[in-house]
This record gives sequence, structure tokens and C-alpha cells, in this order.
Amino acid sequence: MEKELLKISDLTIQYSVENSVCQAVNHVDLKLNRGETLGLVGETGAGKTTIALGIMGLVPDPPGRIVGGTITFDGLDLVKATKKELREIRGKKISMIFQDPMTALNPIDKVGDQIREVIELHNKGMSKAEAAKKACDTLELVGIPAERYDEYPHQFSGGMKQRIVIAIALACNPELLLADEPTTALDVTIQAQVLELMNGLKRKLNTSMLLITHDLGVVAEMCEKVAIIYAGEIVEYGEAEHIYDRTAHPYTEGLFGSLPSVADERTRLTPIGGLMPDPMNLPKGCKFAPRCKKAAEACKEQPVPLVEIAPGHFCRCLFAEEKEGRYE
Amino acid sequence: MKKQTESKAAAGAPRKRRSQVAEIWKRMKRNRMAMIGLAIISFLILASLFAGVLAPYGYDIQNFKERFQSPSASHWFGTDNYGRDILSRILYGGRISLKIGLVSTAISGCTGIILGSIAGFYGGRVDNIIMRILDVFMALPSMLTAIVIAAALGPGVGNCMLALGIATAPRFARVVRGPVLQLKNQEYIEAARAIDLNFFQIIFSHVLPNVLAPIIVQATLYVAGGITAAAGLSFVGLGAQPPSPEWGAMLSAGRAYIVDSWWIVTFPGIAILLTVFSLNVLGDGLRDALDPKLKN
Amino acid sequence: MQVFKYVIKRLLMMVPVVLGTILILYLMMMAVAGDPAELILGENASQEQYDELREDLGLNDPILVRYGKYVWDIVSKGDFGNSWYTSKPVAEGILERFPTTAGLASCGIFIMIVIGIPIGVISAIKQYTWVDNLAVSLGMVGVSMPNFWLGLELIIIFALKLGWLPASGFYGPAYWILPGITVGINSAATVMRTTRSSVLECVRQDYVRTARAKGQSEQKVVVHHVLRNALIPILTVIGMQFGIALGGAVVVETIFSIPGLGKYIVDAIGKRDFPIVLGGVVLLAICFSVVNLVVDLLYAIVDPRMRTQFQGGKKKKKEAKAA
Repeated sequence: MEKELLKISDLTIQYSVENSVCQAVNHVDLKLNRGETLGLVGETGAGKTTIALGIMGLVPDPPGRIVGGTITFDGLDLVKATKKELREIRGKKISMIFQDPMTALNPIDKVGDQIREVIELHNKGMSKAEAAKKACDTLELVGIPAERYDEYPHQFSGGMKQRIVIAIALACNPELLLADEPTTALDVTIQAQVLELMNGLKRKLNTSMLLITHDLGVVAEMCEKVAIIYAGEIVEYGEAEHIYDRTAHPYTEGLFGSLPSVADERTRLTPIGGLMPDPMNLPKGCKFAPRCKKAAEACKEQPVPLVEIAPGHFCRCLFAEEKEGRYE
Repeated sequence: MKKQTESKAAAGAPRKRRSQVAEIWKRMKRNRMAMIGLAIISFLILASLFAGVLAPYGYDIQNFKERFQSPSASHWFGTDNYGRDILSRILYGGRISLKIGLVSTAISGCTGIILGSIAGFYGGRVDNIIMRILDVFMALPSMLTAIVIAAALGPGVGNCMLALGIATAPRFARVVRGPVLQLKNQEYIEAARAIDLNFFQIIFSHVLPNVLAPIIVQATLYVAGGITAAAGLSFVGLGAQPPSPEWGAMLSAGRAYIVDSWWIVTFPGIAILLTVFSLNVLGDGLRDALDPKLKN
Repeated sequence: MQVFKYVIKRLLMMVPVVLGTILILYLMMMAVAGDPAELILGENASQEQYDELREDLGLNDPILVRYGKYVWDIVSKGDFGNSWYTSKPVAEGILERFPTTAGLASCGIFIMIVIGIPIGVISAIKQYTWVDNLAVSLGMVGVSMPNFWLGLELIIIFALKLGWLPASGFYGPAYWILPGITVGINSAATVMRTTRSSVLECVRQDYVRTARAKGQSEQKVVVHHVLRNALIPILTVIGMQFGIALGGAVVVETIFSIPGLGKYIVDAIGKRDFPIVLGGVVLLAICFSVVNLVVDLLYAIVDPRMRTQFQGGKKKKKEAKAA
């Protein structure tokens, strides 16, 4: 149990828009051990980012609110933590890399100062010069020459900006790194570089990481464990091999089906038909049932529980257990 | 981001007009402030249109026995130095003030739209020349420009409307030029050019409908601005002249008596405030309804 | 050094605009002025006196030549011509009164900043609360308030009914308060509205979330990250409002009988003494242009992205490519 760094149980987050409630995250359970990387995979709007913001204590309120559940980080429940406690954790123990590097940096501050800001905040008593020195080191760490300390974000390219965002996130050697689609906004060639960089730094600093993405290719490269999320619910969770080789949930299958593969030489992709349900008005039973080929009447009647179909492999599907045979 | 909005604007272009109006009206109805503004301005317009029926007295009936009456049951807003009923004068004066606001905006709008679309559409040297000339006009705050033009033209309601129209036209042109400049490179405009439509056909049937939103919003706000500015001109003696019941002229004439008769200036001022307020609120609401992206 | 170059460049760019403004004003005034010689001499003058005066005033030259002379006199001697009525130099009259008007406008600017920005920020931060609703409604009323009427009402309430402040004249600090408020209130409301929407816009930005993710305190997030970015559009509006405050001062001076440039111009309009009108307005136009230049410079201080305009065209292009 000592290895466990983050444990989320029964996390529920809602947004109230005018008179309706948007159920963004529903009863999510997740676990993350030290040094481990967990991939959180799902479509746009599935609630991935909201979970990360929930961990940071940064769900925009109003309209968002954590309605229930706990987020235990290193023995402390972040949901109940005071603002001050959260501020001390943010940026130091947990930090976040945001999706869009183009807008994540303050356009009117020198990039070096933006890194220095987080260093100064979490190293009380450190002199300005020392903090600036450390900011320079961090810049070098992510592959940007320290001479560029005095430049402004608009003088950097997208990939370089993301490096700076990563530098800010890693400046205080956090124990947990939340990476929210860190490469989505970047060119494919730059994507590989940035992932490489993150992987290297993570190993060097022994940081745990929650990697949010909709790119299963990225997950395969980076993650030990994977959670598939759909309409605010975890639908499948387990070791990466479980998910890739013994896919249990129809939605996960659908995700793989919509991925081009070099090996199969498929000429046509098979997308998942339909759209994600409106989070203001979720179906009562299995949330994926309306799009699922295997859906039966039973799926639509009541919520489907997340069941451990094999040790460490969880799936939220009534038909998952039938496939249990494939483990043998 | 910009590209996205542009392409969205382009995609939305050929949509049916009627459903769009209905949609905008629906959004407007949800905006309480805008609806209040609409109610007030409708009330004021109706009241001034039916001034002949509603006004308890004529606007120029002098009654020396009843000079400087404070507000009472027989004179709700009191009487002025000639014993004229202030309420009646405000009702009749609304016609003048609203007319000035509308006509000056129409002058400014037409001039501005034409100059702005020519500048934006042809670009290059034409754009440069037009915009530099407009810059010259904008080197002064518009109220000063209006004062100077009105001073040159001489006092009077007509000259006042012309002065305000000319003074604000450059700013209107700017509002139109920007979107036109953006739109002219859209494929559908190029297509219109390719089938040899002339400037006016392209501008009126393809460009202007797409920049209508900022124009309408701007125009609403300019009517409000025009009414205030006209009252200001009258106040310094350059607009409507006494005994005209134009609101600014009433203020100007009542100024001499504020020591004992506060009501002579207070009520015409409230009339201006209400009108301008309702138009501003309405303009804001329109902007939000026409372009929900801008709303906070 | 680059800043210096930029200022020079901008000042040079101002020249044609100001010359154009003077040309238009000059043509407009002179076209409608009638015959100044007749105006000055009255009806009982002899033909000789009349001819002599026309020669003196240079009225026999073509209008463009007269315009050229007018501009040249301003540039070379600071001479704006003489009043048609008193024959006193216009330059003296306008320069004597200019500080008063500038002071009044500055008073207005002060009120606009001190009231407008804080209320705008509070309103934005407390969005959806009654504080915000109240601020927004008051802002709307403030924007819609005709300032000359507000001036009169302030006189009625604070000078006549309560007797707290003087109603007119310009002799000491107490005399500045009511006119200052009158000039500033519209602008304060406009600045408040701009501040509010600008802050609301900036609060939503990703970099604000980044700052919070660093563990920064809410206060510092607002001041350092939100407000500094929000200031950029606010600056533009403040610049524009300065012009409006100058225009407003013209009317407000009339209400409070303040012996400033505005009242000088308005009185001259009444007498059709066009050299004074022309001179006064030209001075205000120059003043307005300079303020706009200052605003652009302030821009560059706040926003590093704007600093590229200080650099040569080549360097700018290079950077655009790099980005």
C-alpha cells in the first residue's frame, strides 16, 4: 500500500448550466502508484480534463462543483483540503501540463520569469537570483538554451512553448504530473519529441504521471496502466496489456477499430457510430448502450457496475464476463 | 481562432434569413435588460408620436400667470419661465430629438457604409486614400468635430443633423471596413466576382448582409449618441433654437433659472437619459443576441 | 534608442494628419465666415479703410495661399493670427486658457481611472452576484448620462440646495470637484464597462489557469496575471476617452463658467470670431494626437508583442517566420 500515491474513489463532478445539471464525471475510481504512468483515454467531452482539474482543485466554480467522492493524495483528501493546503500542493507536489501551449503561457511575461514564479512560490527564502538560476537550469533541462530566459512566449514556436509549459510543471520536481493532451496541439514530428522528453524526465525524476489523451498510440508508448472513460464513467481499467490484448469493453474495441493499423493493412477504418450522449441527459442504464452493437434490453434498464473480470482488469459491461475464457 | 470564426461566418452566410431573425428574437427575449430597453424606447416613441393627443397643453402655449410653477397635479413636470407646460414640451420635443438621432445616424450610416465598403472591397491605394482622409476627420474627438461643423454651418436642427452625421461617419466606415476586408477573400465573394457581378451587386447582396450585425448594433448606439450630442449642441447654442422644445434647447433655456426652478432642466434631462439609456441597453442586447460568442 | 526612433516616426506621421485637419477646418471656416473685413470694421467704415484692412489680412490672396501662410505662421512663429474683434493674438488667448482645460480634462481622467477600473474589476470578479448587477446597471446609466445635464443637476444639488460646493468660477481646489466629476463620469462608466469585459475575458484564459496550477494565491493571480493583461484594451479606451473628455470639457466649461479653452471657443463661435475657433480647435487636435501617441507607447510597455513595432520591418518579418 505504501506505493500508492493517488487514489480516487467515487469522484463525481457536475456543472450547473442555467437550470440543468451537466454530469461531467460520475463515480470514478482510479489508483496510481509511485513512478507509474496511467493513461486516461476517451473522446472529447468524456470528462478527462475535468478529472485532472478535480485533482488540482481547479474545477471552475461556478459552474463546476465536486459533488462527492474523495481524492486521496499521499494520505490527504484533496476534496476536503483547505485552499491554502491545495495551493501548497499545486505546482510543488502535483503539477499539470495543459493541452494548448499557445494559450497556456502569459503573453506579457518573460518565459524565464514564468518558470521562476513557481520556483519562488514553493521555495520560500530562496533569493531571486537563485530562483532565476534554477529557472535557467530547468529551461536547459527541457532543451531550451538559458539565454532565451528574457524572451516572451510569442517569440517561441508551439513545440518550444510546450517545452516551457513542461518546464513550469517540472520545476519543483513534482510527485505527480497531470498531462492533459500534451501533444494534441502539436505537429506530429514535434509530438514525438515532446513525448520523448516527458518520458525521459519522468524517469529521471521518478514522477508518477496521469496522461490524458485520446490517442491510443501515445498510450501504448507511455503507459503501464490504462483507464478508458466514456461519458464521465470509467468503462475499462487495467494494465496496458489487458486493454490492448484482451479488450473487454465494446467501446474500447470501437476505439481500436477506429485506429489505422500498419500491421493489418486494413483499407477502411470502422468508426463508432453515433455521438456521445448529452451529459445533461444521460441514459439510465449503460451509457454506451445507444451506440453499442451488442446492446441488449438489460443494458438499458439499470446502471452497469464496474466488475473485476480478471485480477486488476475491470470492465463495465454486462457481457464482459462471458469473455473471461480468453484469459485461459 | 480567427480563421475558425471566419469560416464559421462564411458557413452561416447563406442560411435562411427568417429563421435567423426568429433565433435572434428568441435570444433577445431572454435578456431582461434588453427587453426593458425595448419597452422604454417603444413607450417613448409612441408617446412622442401621439404627443398631440397625450400632451395636456400645447408645447408653445404661454401662460404668464402660471410661470415657474413647480410640479403639481395640473402641471406634472411644472412650467417654465413663459408658463409653458414642461411635460407637453417634452412630449413634442421627443419628436425632434428622436428625429435628430435617427436622421444623423442615417447620414452617418450611409456615408460610412459606402466609404467603408469601397475602402475594404478595393483595398490597396483606394483603401489607403479613403482611410487617410477619414483619419484626418478622426484627428478630433467626434463631439468637437460636430461642434466645429455646426459652427461653420450655422445653428438649426438640419445643420445639427448634418454635422453629427459627418462627424461620426468616419467611425462608422471603420466598423464596416474591417469585416468587408475579411469577407472579400472568402470563396463565395470570389465566386460572385467570377460570374461578373458588379461592385454594388456584390456589396449589397453578398457582403452587407454578412456585416449587418455590427452595423445594426452600431446604428442603435449611434442613435443614442446622436441624441446626446444633439442636445449638447443645442446646449452650446448650435442645435435647435428656442422656442423649439428640443430637449437640449430646453435645458439650455432653463439653465438661467436653476436657482429657483430645478424642474425646468431636470425633466428634459431625465427624458434624454431615459431615451439614451434604453437605446444603449437595446444595442448591447442586440449585440449579444446577434453574436453570442461575444457574450460574457 | 529604438523607442526614440519610433517616437520620431510617429511624430512625423502625425504631421500630414494635423495639416489635413487644419486644411479642412480652415476651408470650412473661411468658406462660411463671410467677409471678415466687413465684420471687423462694422458698417460705418470708408472704402479705403476697408481695402487697407483686406490687404492687411491678406484676404486678396487665393484661399490655399492663405492656408499656407496660416500654417507657416504657426510653425515658424507660433502665431495663430489675431482675433477679428479684439485684434489680440489668438496664440496668447488659447495658450493662456489651455492649462485650465487640460487640468479639467486630467481631473476627468483621474476620476475615470479611480472609479472606473476598480469597480470594473470588482464587478467582473463578482460576476453573477448583486454587486455585479448593480455595477452593470450603474455603468449603463453612467454611459447614458448627458454630461451637461449632470453638471446642472450637480450644481442644483451640491451648490444650490446643500451649499457644499461652489457653483461656478475657477478659483481653488473646491471649484474643480463638480466640473471634474461632470467631465469624468461618462468616461468612468465606459472604462468600467471595458474593464469588466476585459477582465472577464482574461479570467477565462488558459494562462490564468496555469498560474493557479502553480499554486499562486488568488490575489496575485488577479493582479499579476489577469489585470496586467486586461489593461491592454483598457488603455485604448482611456486614450479615446481623453479625447471625449476634451470635447466634454468644452461644454462643461460653459456650464460652470470656467475660463478655459472650451468656453473661449464656444464664445468665439457665438461671435463668429473664427481665428479663435480655428486656433483653439487646432490646439485640441494636436493635443489629441499626442495623447494617442502616448497611449501607443504605453501599450508597448505593457504588451511585449507590441514592442515589435519599434523594430525595423525586416526583423519583424524574421520573427513572424520563426513563430
